[in-house]
Amino acid sequence: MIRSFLTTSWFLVTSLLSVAAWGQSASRSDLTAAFDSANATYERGEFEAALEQYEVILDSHRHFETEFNAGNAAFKLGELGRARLHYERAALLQPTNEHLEANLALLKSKVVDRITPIPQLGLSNWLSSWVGPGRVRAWVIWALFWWTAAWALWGFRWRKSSRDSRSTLAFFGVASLFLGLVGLWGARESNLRAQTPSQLVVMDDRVDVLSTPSSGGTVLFQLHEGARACILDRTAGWAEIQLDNGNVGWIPTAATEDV
Amino acid sequence: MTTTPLFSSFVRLAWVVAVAFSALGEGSPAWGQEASVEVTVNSTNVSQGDVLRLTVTFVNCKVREIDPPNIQGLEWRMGPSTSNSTQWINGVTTSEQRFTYGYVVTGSKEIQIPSLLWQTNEGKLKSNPVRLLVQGNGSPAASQGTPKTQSRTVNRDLVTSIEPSKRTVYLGEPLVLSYKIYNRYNNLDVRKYDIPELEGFWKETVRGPEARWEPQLINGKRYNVATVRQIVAFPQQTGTLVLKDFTLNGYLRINFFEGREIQATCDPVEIEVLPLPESAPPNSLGTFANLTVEQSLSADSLRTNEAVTYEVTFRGAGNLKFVREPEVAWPSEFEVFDPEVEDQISITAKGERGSRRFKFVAIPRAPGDYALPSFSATSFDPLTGRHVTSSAPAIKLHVARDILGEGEASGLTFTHQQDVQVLNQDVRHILTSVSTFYPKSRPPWTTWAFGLSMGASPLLFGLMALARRKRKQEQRDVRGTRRKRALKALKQSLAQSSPATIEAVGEAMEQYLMAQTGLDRSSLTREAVRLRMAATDESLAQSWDDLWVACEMQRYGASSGDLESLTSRLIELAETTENVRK
Repeated sequence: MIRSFLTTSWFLVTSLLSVAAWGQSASRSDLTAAFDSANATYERGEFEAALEQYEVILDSHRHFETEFNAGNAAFKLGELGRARLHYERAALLQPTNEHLEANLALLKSKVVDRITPIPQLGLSNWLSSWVGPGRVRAWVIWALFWWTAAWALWGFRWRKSSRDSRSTLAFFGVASLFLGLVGLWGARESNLRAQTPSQLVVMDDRVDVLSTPSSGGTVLFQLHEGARACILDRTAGWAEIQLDNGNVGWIPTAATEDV
Repeated sequence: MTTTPLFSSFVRLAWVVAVAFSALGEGSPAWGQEASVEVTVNSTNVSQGDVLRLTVTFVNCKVREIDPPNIQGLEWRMGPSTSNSTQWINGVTTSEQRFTYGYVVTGSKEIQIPSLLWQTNEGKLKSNPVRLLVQGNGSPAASQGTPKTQSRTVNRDLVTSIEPSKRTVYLGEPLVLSYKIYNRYNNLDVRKYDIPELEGFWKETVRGPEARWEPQLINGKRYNVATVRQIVAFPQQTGTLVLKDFTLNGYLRINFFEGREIQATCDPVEIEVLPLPESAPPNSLGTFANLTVEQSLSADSLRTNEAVTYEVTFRGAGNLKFVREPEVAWPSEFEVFDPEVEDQISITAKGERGSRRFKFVAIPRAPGDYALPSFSATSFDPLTGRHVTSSAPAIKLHVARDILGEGEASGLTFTHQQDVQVLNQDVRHILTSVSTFYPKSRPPWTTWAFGLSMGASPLLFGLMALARRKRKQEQRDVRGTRRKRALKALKQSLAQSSPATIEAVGEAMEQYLMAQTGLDRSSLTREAVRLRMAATDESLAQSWDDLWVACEMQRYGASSGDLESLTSRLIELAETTENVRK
């Protein structure tokens, strides 16, 4: 009887997973074909056409490799702002990728504005790195693992006859469930940050940063194409930004693009 | 820098000679011109404090000695200095005797030098009147507001000047700037002069002899001119560059005890610097006239680890000090040391000209035939107004294997390693592997895969819980469980006994009846079965009784019925029993 239950449930799960995988693979094959086509265009040196193809994919999907390659194409075209935008978006997905770090470093050396970051509190950095937009996938895997572990521990608990063993397994089961819920929270938080842009990149050659969100404000400093800043606040047509060196001002959003 | 001693000695000597000569000729009938006296000044437009030179010229007449005339508005300070001259033109002799005095202007607005009566050997003669116009205060402090007019109009006996060799040049084209002092004073001490900074120029000072006064006639006036400095200037920016503020501070000695400060400055000079007519190539060296380049090697054949000297020489007119170390395409097997720079540059009033030579010492570390490619240098030639390229032909070098010493059987006596030089930077290549595409429209937990993955664990857990509960129930009701499974067990037993025997059929029937009636094997009799079945259904009890008899008949040979039909009857009766007792 037990075997029949397990067989039935296994069949059910695998069937559902297969259906889901089939649906995913159909869409994925199209995206992969488009991605490969854009890569071939890039290889031929047609960077402008390649960039357009990459951006078509990125209109509907987040994809690290596509963002990275789009940044490369924009860099080859000399469009530093566009290249920075795609690299920063790629960094949201995989912040520690070695190739991305190398390209970003090269790009920063070409940007007119050299912004030296001021030291920040270690705790906020640490927290930001853990719930950053690029951590969604890791949090999902984390949550799935502990969620599954919790149920498995509880299931395994039935096989134990010793009272102590059963108590221990029950405790670890609860702990795993807690960790799984933490993973779900982290995934939700990271996704929220990915959905809500917290940075922008300057796309114009040069733009004034003012003291107030109006054209009559005092010009505090100027930014050039490719500079990146954190968004503190928004009003109609304006964004309050903070540079990594601590400078704060208002910038017209028409001259920028959200990461 | 004082002109007084030599010049004064010469004047005195000339005066003595002239007086002696005139004395010899006194009373001679050769004087054919009318005697007169003229009073002249060096300037009729003066300022207060200026030194005015007043000259009284006695033409064809002589005086022994005269006192300085007392003139209102003028204060005598020095003189007289005297001079005599005699001219014979077409048999007519004209003699002149001059007395020059120095006066300081003290009056204002207008000063009249009236006609003066002079006692000469020709009798009393009247001189001409002179009118002087005084223009304000001539002190240095007051002249700061109008330096240009002060320098030229008020004090034109002392003038500074910047004289460029060209007024219009190309960017980087050299021009020579001469800083000159024009002086008509005999007793001027030049104490200090300021050469201004040249903004927008790279400059080289021409080394020459110490400045000295040289006489020069300008507009009929005799000036002492000194060139205090000459600079070869290379304009580094386009547009109109203004040269000014060449100032002079001197001391004008009036007599042994007295004198006054005097100052002069120059008019601004504009230099028009033109941009290069063509865009300069990336490797252009700048603006040079007749630039040539040569390259040479000290040997065309040598052995490994022997040094060879490679020379690159730039030769031409221009700022050769701007020429940087050339980038030579050395073979990687060469170890090259920093070059020695050898300049043979002459900076003269004609400009800068010469050569700059870079001498590299290189050591080939591996044998082979090498070639240093042709070397070219591009520069803008202001003479032709276009960029020209000078090339030096390629050089070949044969490097033979080094003679092996003892223990150097391998022939590799030196390992030459060098750091990898980063020549250019570029982004890393695109990534071709494909990771997961995340739709922007939905978060990960709304996907099928995530939902199933999250739901699978509790689902399995629930199924296991159900199974466990069922197993426990069965463990609590063994008999009931056995009864429920009696039909299935019967069919399995019959299916397993192939070919079917009456013993197997009997055993299966006994097992079934024990499960259904709850009797054990020892109490399972025909009567006991009939009674238990009759409690449920009388006909059912009769059917089982009949089947029991049939089985016994079959087993003990009383009947030779079909075993298959007996099996079918058993299954059919068992199913009927299940239905009846449900």
